[in-house]
Amino acid sequence: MNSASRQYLDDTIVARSTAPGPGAIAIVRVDGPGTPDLVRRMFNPLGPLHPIDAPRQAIFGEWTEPPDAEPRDDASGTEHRIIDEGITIFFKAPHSFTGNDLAELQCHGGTAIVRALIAAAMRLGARLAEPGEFTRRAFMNNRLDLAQAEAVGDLIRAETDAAARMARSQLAGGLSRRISELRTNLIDLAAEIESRIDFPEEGLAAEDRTRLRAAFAALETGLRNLMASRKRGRLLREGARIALVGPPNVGKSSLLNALARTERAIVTPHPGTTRDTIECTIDLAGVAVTIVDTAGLRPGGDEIEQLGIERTHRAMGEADIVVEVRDATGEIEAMNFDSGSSCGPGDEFSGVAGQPSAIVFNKIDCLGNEDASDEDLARRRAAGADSARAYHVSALTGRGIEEFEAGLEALLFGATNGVTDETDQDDTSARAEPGGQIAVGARHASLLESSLASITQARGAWVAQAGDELVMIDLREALLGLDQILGLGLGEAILDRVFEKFCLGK
Amino acid sequence: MTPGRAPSLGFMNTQHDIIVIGAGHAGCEAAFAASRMGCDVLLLTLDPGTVALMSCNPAIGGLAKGHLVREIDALGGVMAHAIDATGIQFRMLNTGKGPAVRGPRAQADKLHYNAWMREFIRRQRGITLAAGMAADLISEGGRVTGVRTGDSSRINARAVVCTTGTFLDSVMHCGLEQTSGGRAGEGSAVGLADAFGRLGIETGRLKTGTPPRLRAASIDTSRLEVQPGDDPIVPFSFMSGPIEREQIVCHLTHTTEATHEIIRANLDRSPMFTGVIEGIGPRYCPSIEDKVVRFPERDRHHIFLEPEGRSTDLVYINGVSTSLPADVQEAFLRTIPGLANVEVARPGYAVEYTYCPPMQLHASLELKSVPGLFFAGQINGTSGYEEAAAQGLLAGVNAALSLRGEEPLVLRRDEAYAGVLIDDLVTMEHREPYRMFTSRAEYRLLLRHDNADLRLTEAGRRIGLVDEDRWRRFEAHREQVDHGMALAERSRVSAVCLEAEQWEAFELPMPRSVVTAGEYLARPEVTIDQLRRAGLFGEGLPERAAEQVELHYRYSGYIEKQRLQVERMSELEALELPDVVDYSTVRGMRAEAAEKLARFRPASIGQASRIAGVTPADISVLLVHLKARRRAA
Repeated sequence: MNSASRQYLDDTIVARSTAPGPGAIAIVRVDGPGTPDLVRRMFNPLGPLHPIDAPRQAIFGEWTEPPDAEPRDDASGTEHRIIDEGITIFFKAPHSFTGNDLAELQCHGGTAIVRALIAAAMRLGARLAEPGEFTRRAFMNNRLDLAQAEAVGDLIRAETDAAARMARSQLAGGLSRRISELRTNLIDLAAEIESRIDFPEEGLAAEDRTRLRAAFAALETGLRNLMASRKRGRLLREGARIALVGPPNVGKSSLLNALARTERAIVTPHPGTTRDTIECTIDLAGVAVTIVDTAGLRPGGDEIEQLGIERTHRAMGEADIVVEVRDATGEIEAMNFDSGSSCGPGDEFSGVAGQPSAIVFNKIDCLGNEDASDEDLARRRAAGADSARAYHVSALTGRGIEEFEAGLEALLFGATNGVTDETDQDDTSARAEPGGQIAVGARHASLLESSLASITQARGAWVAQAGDELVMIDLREALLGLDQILGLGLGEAILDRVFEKFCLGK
Repeated sequence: MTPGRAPSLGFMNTQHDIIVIGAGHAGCEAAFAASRMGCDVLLLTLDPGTVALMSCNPAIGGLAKGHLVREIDALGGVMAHAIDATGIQFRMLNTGKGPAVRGPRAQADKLHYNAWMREFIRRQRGITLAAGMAADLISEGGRVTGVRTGDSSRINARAVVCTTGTFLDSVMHCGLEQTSGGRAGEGSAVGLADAFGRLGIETGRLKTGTPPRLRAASIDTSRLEVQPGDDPIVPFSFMSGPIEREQIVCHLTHTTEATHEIIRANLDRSPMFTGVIEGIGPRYCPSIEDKVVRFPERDRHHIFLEPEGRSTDLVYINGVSTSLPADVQEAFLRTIPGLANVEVARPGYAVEYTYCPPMQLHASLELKSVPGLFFAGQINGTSGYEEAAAQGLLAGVNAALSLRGEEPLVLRRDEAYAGVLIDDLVTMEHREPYRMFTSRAEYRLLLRHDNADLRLTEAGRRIGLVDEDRWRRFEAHREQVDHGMALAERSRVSAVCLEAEQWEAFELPMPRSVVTAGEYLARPEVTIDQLRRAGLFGEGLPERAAEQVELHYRYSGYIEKQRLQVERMSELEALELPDVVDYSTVRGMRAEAAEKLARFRPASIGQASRIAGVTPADISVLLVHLKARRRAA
């Protein structure tokens, strides 16, 4: 079995169907039997009441993030973040391009929005379409006429080249090396088990269960590490959160506005999920980054302020990056972040739990002597948190904002968070070609995930001694996943290894 | 052994429906199947005395191979009957593992097997067994129309099945000495390979080998481990009743460091290690010199001593295939426990022979470039009697079907090991003789030896191979299985079915809720045997049907997983690729893929997608091209 056969016709698939890159609008297509349900769950029509899946009707509304598996917050559990607003058109089978139930989501043309929409659809059960897959479905369902069919050949060709380029750029680096290593270990394990099925009479030594147990565990760990280190894939899929914290009146809101005001801003500021936080989402190097402006952190204060502070701490916990904002004209003193909460999902990005990843000194326009800023910066940096980077900006004039954005980008992708060089290479390619890269990233991540799940199942069957032939079913499934990433056919890999490793044949 | 009384030359009838060249395991099945389907068959062999001779190991079956024999039987072939009639030791392999990966194996009385098959062929209406060498193929307008024999007789036929085994331009190696011939004491078929060349058929060279044969009287088995047969015997054929037969025992021994030293010291006299043999040998059947060189850390290698029959004192030494010189063979054999004074009746040797890379074949086993010509067995680069027989059966069936103008019988990968075998042959490049392994079947849980009948008997009936008797018995079996399944869905098992101590006595887990018998059987610790003994389910079912019900539920979750894979596969699998596609004109197709596809000429999209170097996108491009063609037509 190879990947061609794995493009199942009854899966629900999603992909951007307009050309990658900036544009006024973009179209994301969802196709397959799960489409009506998926659209219902991520799209809220605004204005006149329409059934969401009324066929061939352009319906205006907003797309929202599907709820997380674990709600972040009791209060916000029912309220989902809005991705974008735009038009959804539903085509009912067989009257669609592909002949299946199909929806076109016409959104604003930012890569971050497109990604967020695709990520949301995937979280609702869709899988990313393979190159040419919509066309193939159309073909299979007799929806192409002769002229279209001819033209589509060229189109698929183009898509293939793009896919190949993506695969090359991503797989040239360490990722493919590490997956290949895992694949080798997986084949070793499979050969070990398989040899005892097909060669019962060869006097093979009894199965070394301790060693096999370790081999299973090593594979699971290896895949898990790979997934963890592939944060770019996660970033692309899920975006990132940055929390702005600091005392009141240091200009957090104006900093947020300054970031949002750039041409990258894709959502106008709207109230956050709790009363005291404001959020906006920007596209930072292809990643949908949500910036959260928190309530001012102030020692002491009354009960109501305490509630706000708790929320701030929660926002910090949820953030990938915490940015402390200070008034450049104010006193130089370190803030107390002792909140008892770690950085949660963000600890991958932050140097020290509970500490900000960056310090921004705002209002440098008020310093008067602009030339002093460098010296000032050094002085202030020395006084700031040890691991943090410091930036001087003026939210009002926009001075330093670009540098700060570059810094954020570096924090998201960068080498400061203990991730190996290999993934950095990966990340470079992501930034070099932001348009096409999500496909590979998300596809790989989901294949890695399913491979891991298969190995875990195989181990379960092996531990329970359910039968080697059953263990092998899941091991093969895992191997198919890795092979798909590497673009390899399984062929006789296991048998080849069996013959290499064991003296077989009477 | 009497060389057959068949007419040697100057044939009475020079016109037949089908000529089968070679009367080995493939040729016999092919001739039988075609004759059963009403064709007039000439079975041409160099020596009618050697019909279905076991050139190497005197055994049938094993893992995957045993599955093939069951499938041959289910389709209505001969091999299972032959081994049931002439087996002298029967064993089920892998009984410690799940039912899907068990396989029946039997030692045959080699001469008895050969004689039984000769008699069977002789009695079969529609087969003429004749001695002669096919020296050339006659063709008209690209289609094969007959064979010219070594003495220049011309025999006309509408189809020819080639099952030449190791006899095509064959050379035997024993040490650095070479003799022409495909088997000890026999000749080689010359001329036919040239005919292939003229027809544009690609050929290659392969190598195989066989171990020495020993004199039983010279072996001291007193301190060797004994390997007895199973009791009771599980027969190969669906039609065989219980087999009551005294079985012979085999013995186990092993090589020693001294053996390995002698072998190492004499590698310069090995045709393989000196480069005299160029053909590629199978990795799963390495020579002992190969094993010693490749696995220097092993201080011993397993050896089985297998008697070749009741009426012969020859013993086959399983595990020491070799082409070292005879004196070296004797020297190292004598370092093996039990063989200190061994007498070698015939030294081992290697054979190099010509084969035709099977990607030149349709899945019907007919040559793509030469209509009317079918290949089966070692000529297709396979190894093993069972692999040969399965191909022979299908080649014979498809030759007969082609004469009727009917669609060929092509078994799917999810339907039979024979389907996997042929699909692998015609779509993949192989660098060594191909042997069947269960791991080659992605639907291993579906393709069990115990359900071959349920998978294939209907197909055998459809083409006319399955006779009335088998069909009636099969239908009864199938009804019992269906009935058992229905019963398993209806019957309920709950805690109140038995007293608490009874659950314990029958070693059955007490169910917490009411479950169907089927659900209960899905638990790994529950067997239908226990249920029958406890009187909970299936007491009325015959054992064979009960087994099917049990396995159905035991594997249900995983079978479902596989079945889904199968269904998803077959969507593309089934889409046929017309043979006339000019891949170089397909818009958007990468050059590499176009070249591979043009070379392999896959019959279906499924086959195309398995060819190395053909990507999913190429398949999409191809689908679109096909569609466009069809519209245009």
